[in-house]
Amino acid sequence: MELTSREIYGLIHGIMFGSIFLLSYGAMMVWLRTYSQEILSEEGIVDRERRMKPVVWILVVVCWLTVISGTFMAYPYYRAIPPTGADLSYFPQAFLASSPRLANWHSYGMEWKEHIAWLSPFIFTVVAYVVTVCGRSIARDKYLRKMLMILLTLAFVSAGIAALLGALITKKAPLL
Amino acid sequence: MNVSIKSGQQNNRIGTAILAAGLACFIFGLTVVLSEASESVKHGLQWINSVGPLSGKVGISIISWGISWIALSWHYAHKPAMDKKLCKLGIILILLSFLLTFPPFFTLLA
Repeated sequence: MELTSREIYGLIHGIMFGSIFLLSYGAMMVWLRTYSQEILSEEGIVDRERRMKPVVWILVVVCWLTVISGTFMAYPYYRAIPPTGADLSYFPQAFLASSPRLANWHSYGMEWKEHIAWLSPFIFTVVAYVVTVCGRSIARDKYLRKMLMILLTLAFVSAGIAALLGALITKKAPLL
Repeated sequence: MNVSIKSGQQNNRIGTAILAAGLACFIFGLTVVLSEASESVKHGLQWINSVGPLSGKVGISIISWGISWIALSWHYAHKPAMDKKLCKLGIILILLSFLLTFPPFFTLLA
């Protein structure tokens, strides 16, 4: 039972960073939906604000690490060009492209995954910035909460599409 | 200081931040289309060989994000409060960038 360095890179990218980021969506939405002066006392608002600010910035770092590790650690192995006569199972892009039945997993699946994933860190960083700048005003401003929920959802939709495609492509052509 | 869109006291800081993120996403989407449309653009975006054109697309987006955030903050700092408008524009740009990164759409445009 062993893991190659390529598999470890894939795990760091997808399981360690990516899944932590995706799992936090529910918690973030609950925090935003209930962060209201109609629900919380003044002490509750102050307490939530104090706890939320560091958490949201940790998630920003996780989000950036997910896309950076994916792009600069795992992706170069995915797109490596095989030498003549090489075993294509070690070269996922070439392996997918070699079969008409699988080619769309690269030309549509991976092409979308590698691009849409990069929208997430820009959007999520601005969520963290707004949470930091606005602080407890978010609890008093319904419009601001709605705006943050929209941005949060967009960040997670982009990350979610990338994660789903990544998992499916790994099933078809694992990074060995 | 805690600021709010309601109070209009934050010199458009929220709106400019969201618009800058929207611009970064939109520029990223544009580089995807341009790279698909032109071999020379694709070659020029290959900042790191092992990563390919994706490295240039990411690099350009991050640089444009920083520049646009600074420029927009400076431009809107002393303008009347217009956060809601800037937020909406930022979100529209983000939605457009989702479309620009969708392979059937960018191959069609290219």
